[in-house]
Amino acid sequence: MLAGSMFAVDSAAEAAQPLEGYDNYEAFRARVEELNQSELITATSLAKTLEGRDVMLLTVGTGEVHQKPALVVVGNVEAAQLFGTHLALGIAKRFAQQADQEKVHDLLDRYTIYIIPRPSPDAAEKCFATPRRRPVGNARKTDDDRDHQFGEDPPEDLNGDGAITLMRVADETGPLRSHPDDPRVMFAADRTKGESGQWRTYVEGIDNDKDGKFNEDAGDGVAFNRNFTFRYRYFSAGAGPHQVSEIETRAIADFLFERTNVAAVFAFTPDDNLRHTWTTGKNPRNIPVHIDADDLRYVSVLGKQYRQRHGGQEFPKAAAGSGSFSEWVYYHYGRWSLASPGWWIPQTDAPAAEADATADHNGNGNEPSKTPSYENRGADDINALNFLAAHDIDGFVDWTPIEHPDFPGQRVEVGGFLPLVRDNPPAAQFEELAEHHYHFLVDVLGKMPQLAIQEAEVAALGGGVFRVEATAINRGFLPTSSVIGYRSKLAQRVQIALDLPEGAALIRGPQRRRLPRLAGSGGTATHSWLFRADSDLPAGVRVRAWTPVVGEDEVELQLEEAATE
Amino acid sequence: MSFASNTYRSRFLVGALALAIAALVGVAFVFIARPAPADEPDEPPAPTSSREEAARRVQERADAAAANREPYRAVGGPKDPKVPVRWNRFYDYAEMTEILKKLAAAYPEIVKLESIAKTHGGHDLWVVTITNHQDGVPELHKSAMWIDGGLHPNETQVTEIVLYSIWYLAEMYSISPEIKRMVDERVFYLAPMMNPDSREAHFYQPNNRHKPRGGMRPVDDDGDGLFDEDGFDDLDGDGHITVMRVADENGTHLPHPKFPRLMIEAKPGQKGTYRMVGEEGIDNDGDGEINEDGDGYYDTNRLWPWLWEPEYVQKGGYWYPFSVHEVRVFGDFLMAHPNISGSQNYHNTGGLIVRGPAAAIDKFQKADIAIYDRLAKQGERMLPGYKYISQSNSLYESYGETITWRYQMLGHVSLLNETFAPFNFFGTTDAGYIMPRPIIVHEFDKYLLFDDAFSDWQEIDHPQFGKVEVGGLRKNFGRQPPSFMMEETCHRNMAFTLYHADQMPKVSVQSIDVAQVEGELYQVTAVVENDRIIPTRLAVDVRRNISPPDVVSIERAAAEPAAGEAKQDGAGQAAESGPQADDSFRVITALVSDSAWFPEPRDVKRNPQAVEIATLGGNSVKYVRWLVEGAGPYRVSIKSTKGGRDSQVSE
Repeated sequence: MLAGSMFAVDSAAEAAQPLEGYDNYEAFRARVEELNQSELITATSLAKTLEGRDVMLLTVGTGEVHQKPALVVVGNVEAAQLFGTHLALGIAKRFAQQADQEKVHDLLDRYTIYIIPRPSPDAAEKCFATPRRRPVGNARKTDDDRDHQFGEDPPEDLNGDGAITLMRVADETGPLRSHPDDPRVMFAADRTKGESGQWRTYVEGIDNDKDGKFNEDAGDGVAFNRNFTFRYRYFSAGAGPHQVSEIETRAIADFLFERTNVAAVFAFTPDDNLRHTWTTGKNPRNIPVHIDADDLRYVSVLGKQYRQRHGGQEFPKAAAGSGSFSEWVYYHYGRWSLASPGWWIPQTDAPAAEADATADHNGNGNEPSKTPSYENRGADDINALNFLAAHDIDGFVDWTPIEHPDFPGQRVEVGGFLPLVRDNPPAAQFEELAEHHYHFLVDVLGKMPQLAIQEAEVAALGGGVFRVEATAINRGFLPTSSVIGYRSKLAQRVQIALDLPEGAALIRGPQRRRLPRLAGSGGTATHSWLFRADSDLPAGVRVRAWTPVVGEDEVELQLEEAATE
Repeated sequence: MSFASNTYRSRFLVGALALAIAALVGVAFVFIARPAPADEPDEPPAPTSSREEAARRVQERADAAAANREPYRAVGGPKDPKVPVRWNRFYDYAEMTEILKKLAAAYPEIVKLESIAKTHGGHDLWVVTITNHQDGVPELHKSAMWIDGGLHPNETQVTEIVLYSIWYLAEMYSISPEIKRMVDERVFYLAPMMNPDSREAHFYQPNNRHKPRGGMRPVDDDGDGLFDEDGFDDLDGDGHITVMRVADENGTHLPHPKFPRLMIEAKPGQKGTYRMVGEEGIDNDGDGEINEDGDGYYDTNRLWPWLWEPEYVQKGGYWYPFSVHEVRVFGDFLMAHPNISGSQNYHNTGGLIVRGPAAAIDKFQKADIAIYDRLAKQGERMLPGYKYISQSNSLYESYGETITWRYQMLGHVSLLNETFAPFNFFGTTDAGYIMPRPIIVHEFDKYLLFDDAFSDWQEIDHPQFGKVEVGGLRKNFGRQPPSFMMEETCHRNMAFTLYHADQMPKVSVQSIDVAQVEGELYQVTAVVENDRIIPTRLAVDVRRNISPPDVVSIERAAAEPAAGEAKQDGAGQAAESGPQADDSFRVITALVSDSAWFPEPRDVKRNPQAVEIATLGGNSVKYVRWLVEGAGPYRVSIKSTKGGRDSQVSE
């Protein structure tokens, strides 16, 4: 029985074969366990999901890891982009392996890297379900069409190929036409050009609840990347009953809020601010919804660095997220937020004509078009088909007619791209992509703010009175926090303090004070104190400056020397 | 009815009104020596009573009264409650818990007490459920009213208002038929103390009347990595945090000429004698600021999901909606009870009946505002000095507060009373809007409270300021009613909230009319009604599909229902079990209309035996007409998430 069912899955997978070399939860945990063997990596669970999977955290670093400024890397923010997990783990592996290099060793001395490779493991695991389907959210049963029934009309695998693709119904009132160059591809008919429609498409399945709508409620769960507070879209599918409603969302938000040492977060997510930076603009009332102009300048520099490291081509601009993770990091968590999909389908030329000139993608014996039509519509799909062909990936299900109970007597075909093949690169690219991102993150760590006490002087004014004047400086590239991080106080501000010995009385204080934001590359702030010491002169005083997001520095000042000057 | 209470009426019987009165009072005739014969209406009764007879009658009445002694009650309250409680004082957590437990023990048939969670400080979060627990109707099948107090724990009297409401419903259930009806028809969920940890801190630790306003979980308010390290300091040791002044001949303030304890600002050109230096406290953590990181802080009324904004946009927002356990458990409770169709969130102060929206960028549906207006207009009558307002228009803006969330995301009519009005001091309208004018407070303190509300100025040594005087209004006054006004505050607020509850939707099957069309074909017309002000689904609910539509369904009544069974609980069971497989009964069509004549009715194409109705408006009916195959009797049921359920069987 068991063998039989496994065989059935295998044969379906053979036809589809997306995600070859990708880790399901079990394999993922094994890989995490392997990394956990490294002395530099500690794997812990932030929470157990609804289905009992662990939300894993890998802490990469040495010594007092929570006391050092930290960079967070989150993979697989969108459930379908499973490769983010592999890249995040690849980054962890590289830091651990290359820690004996001096540069990396130094970085791990100063910084901690928190890696959350698979934030919503229940959602990710749906990538491996049969029939295969592009997952949206976690295991919570939802009412996606808000009709008070939960998951009452999911898609069905009508052609039995183990995957949910599309179905198209021949219909002159439909919105789509076949592409002249490649009949697999369709594009929107333009009525103003006199084009009537040819097809109407639906997700593969039947109308289970006979309400005239197809597959409108698969009970798809709550998406990690739509469950955060910034620009949260109320009452929308995948967003959850309210913000931060899910176990994994809450666990990760709580973890990050507790970790005051986090300085920046990099996420593998469809939202992007490294290739297409967020825009500045006028904020409504006192609510920031646009990136601050000063913050943008710094993110732009990091974006340029990212493009150099990645080397990939341009890709279409991402739509503004709603309730997304990476915007939340910047606006509601007050930290530097760096976001990129990490991989996308590059511009790929059509494969050169093979010897077999009669080969036809649709297998229906027609001659392929001899001259290209220069039709631009559908170009994205044609590019994706070219990419799949170039990498020998069987990622498209040719349109094949079926009998559909809801369309008796009508021509209905099932076909289209296999789920997830356009979201994820071939596994062979993991190493190269992880390498690019690893180098970028090393670059980012190299640009972190560097807090130091530039100058500290003590002057004896007579009568046992001393003046201490100290200047804190930021010698790193980034400011000590983003503007929004400073304004929100979510990133702790730099503090400076004078530690006085017993018996000394402060004349001008305060003893401890929060400093303004220190600009990058030499931003400074100065503070001075007056105090009076006993006749029994203490040996010295100490000036400290610190913030968990940047680090600390301290200087000991000798009083005697000053007194004799 | 009480005999004793009617005896005084016998005096009138000698007059020309004798017959009319006699007809009204009926039983009072027992004590009348000679009832007027019906055939002699015009003849006045003869004055035959001798002194002895009169004395005997008095004695008889006294004996009868002694035998069946009814208490002489002040109307509107119990005289000898099973659980005696004084309503002119405040109760702490332990005292309140004891009262709740006693009430639950004394009235198990209507009062249920449950702890929905333990707080950070280890207290129980109590929720009381009041309804007729013995009628066999599932709780979720009755529409419910949520009533809470203490979301802002410093707003003391709201706990007593909710506690009083629990006590009143329990104690009056057997005395007042009207209270009994309300309790039988509805469910009341009451949470008297939403922040017990902080209420304890407000009572027993040095605080002012504004603090603590949220919970007691430590928060680093000033972003220095230290938690709650610089709160108030009770410098004069009186348990109250007041204000500090320093004598200064170049000062900005001076004592009021008539009420010298009150400090007023010097006029331009005038020199003050004091300088005000803030709330009682010192710089505990050496950062140059005083009292900048005290208990908490997150605002338990800024942590709800609707239009939530973070801490830096609005103080108190903390991490994210429901990021505090004590708030989340209440949110979960409310979300798990879709039968809640009204709620009251008590606060102080100002004398306001507040509706949302709380943010200017937000808006309510016009049709729903009209419902709010009708309810609150009555409230303004019942709560003298209280004004009905929309928060964003007339108060201040806020994000992520609970009442707008309740309306926008739970789809019910939620109100917030800011209890205790400046008007209440002297019954005048010149006492200030929301916050009373200081001079009014001091006048009231002097003449009605005999100086009990003010902590007099006392000199102390301050580590940062040197010689400082500490004094001001105590924490238990300024937002709270004084002792002698407490019960009235409780009762009037409760009465308005009960009025609100009584206007929640209540559905019923008003009538079923059956006509034979031909052979086995019958036309069944049902009238379903909601006879209260609030619709079964508000406009916001319909717009967002928050709760399911109402369903009016027909089935063949299986057997003769037992007398009385048809009306109440049969409804739920019939609807749950669904239509029975019955080949000889089939619903062919269903039409829905607002009119008995069915002009252009809605033709229900899907599932005509269970007709969905988007909403049943306030004080309105809908007509549903089926064509069915198969003779009756038929059972027509209506099921509404927020309006309850009903069913009836046709003749």
